[in-house]
Amino acid sequence: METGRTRKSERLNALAKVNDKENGYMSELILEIGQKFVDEFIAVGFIICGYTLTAKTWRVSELGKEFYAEIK
Amino acid sequence: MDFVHPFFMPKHMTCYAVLWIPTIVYRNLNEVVTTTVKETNISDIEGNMLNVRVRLLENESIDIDIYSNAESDYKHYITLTFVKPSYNGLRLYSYEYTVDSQYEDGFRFTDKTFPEAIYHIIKEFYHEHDFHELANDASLIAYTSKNEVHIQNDDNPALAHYLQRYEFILRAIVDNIHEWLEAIRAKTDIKDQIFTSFPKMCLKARGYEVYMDALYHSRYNKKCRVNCYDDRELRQRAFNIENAQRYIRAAEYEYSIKYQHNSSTALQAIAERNMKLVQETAQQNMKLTQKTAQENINEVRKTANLSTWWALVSIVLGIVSIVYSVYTSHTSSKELYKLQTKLETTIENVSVTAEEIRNQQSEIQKLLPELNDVESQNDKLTRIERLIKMLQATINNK
Repeated sequence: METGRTRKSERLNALAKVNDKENGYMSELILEIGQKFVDEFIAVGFIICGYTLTAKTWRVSELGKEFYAEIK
Repeated sequence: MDFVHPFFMPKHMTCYAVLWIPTIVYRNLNEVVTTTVKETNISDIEGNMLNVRVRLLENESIDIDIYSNAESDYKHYITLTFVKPSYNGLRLYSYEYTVDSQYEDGFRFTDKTFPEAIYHIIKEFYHEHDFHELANDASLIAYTSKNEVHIQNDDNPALAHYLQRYEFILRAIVDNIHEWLEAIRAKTDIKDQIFTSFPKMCLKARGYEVYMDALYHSRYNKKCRVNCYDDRELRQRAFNIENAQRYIRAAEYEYSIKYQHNSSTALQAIAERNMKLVQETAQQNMKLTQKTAQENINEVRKTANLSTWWALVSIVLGIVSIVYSVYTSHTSSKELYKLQTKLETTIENVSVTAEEIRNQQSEIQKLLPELNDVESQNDKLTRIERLIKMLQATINNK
């Protein structure tokens, strides 16, 4: 079972990309940071899902911005 | 998310969704409805909006209308027909499968997909967002199925889904709290830093604990328990849920000992700095106001003195102009009198001359009949010429 410790720097890099982009299409984000981090960040509340008629979208939350700012 | 080409899907297929409405105590959710209509844009892409209108109907079904960039008003999209509730917050809905053949994801209701944003809106009809910000409740994913779910059965799939989701969320929070603590421990200077994300994540976890316990400790949950050995995976899940909660409490304790004070101190330092800044600004403003007031007073005095001088000068000039006017009008009237006298003399002379001209004219008229007499014609002409010359001389002299 993969733990949070082994993916520490990967998590930080993924958070950096999320904070850098701030919003976009979910399919592109999955390609950039991977499905696992997307699922994790949705669960914790760092990113929030939305929709257009044709695509799933995302945006970074205030919690996501604050968390990244404190640990980077 | 698997994409199945609509060619292989029946045109109209009924699907089911079980939405869990977080509730603290067992109760009839209809009693806590606060609003029945919500409208919002659920797209995160600027210029590509998707407005949804979600309406709670009297029969507890949900109507969903949408309009995107291409439309100008809402049109009906789907109705979620309410089937039944359970008293721990699960609500069963049925709907017709909808899919747009062109796109693999996007706004749709299928047996595998139920838009989180719509779930979040429906929750808000019955649930107030305690312990977290409005948007942070959107991490729950609805349970969907091709088959009807018996939500009042023990260990039903919808209950299992939400407990699994609970475990996933808690583990994600644990991982990120751990990352946060490691990062902060490694920092050497955190004196002026205020921490907000850690308390928020812990508060969210504690909030979940309050609500999720309605499912975890529900009488329908028989197998996802640490003391139930019937299903290994479910037992592990129960253990993970409980131990994650214990870890979060331990992390909170470390935070309260090492870093909470830091935030308080940093806040206090900021407050003191702000207070000092406000005081300095107030003093500067006071000095500036005093200086400006003094300058204004001096300016007013100067202006008053100047005005007095100008008033005196104006009076003197006024008097001088009056005297001059009187003098010039007197001189003018004298000149006018002289001119009048001269004019009267001229008129008199002209009258005399006119009389002389009339006399000479009558002389000429007397001579006119004699013009037929040939012998005296020349004499007459000569006399006429002489008279004309006399007339001309008289006119020239006058």
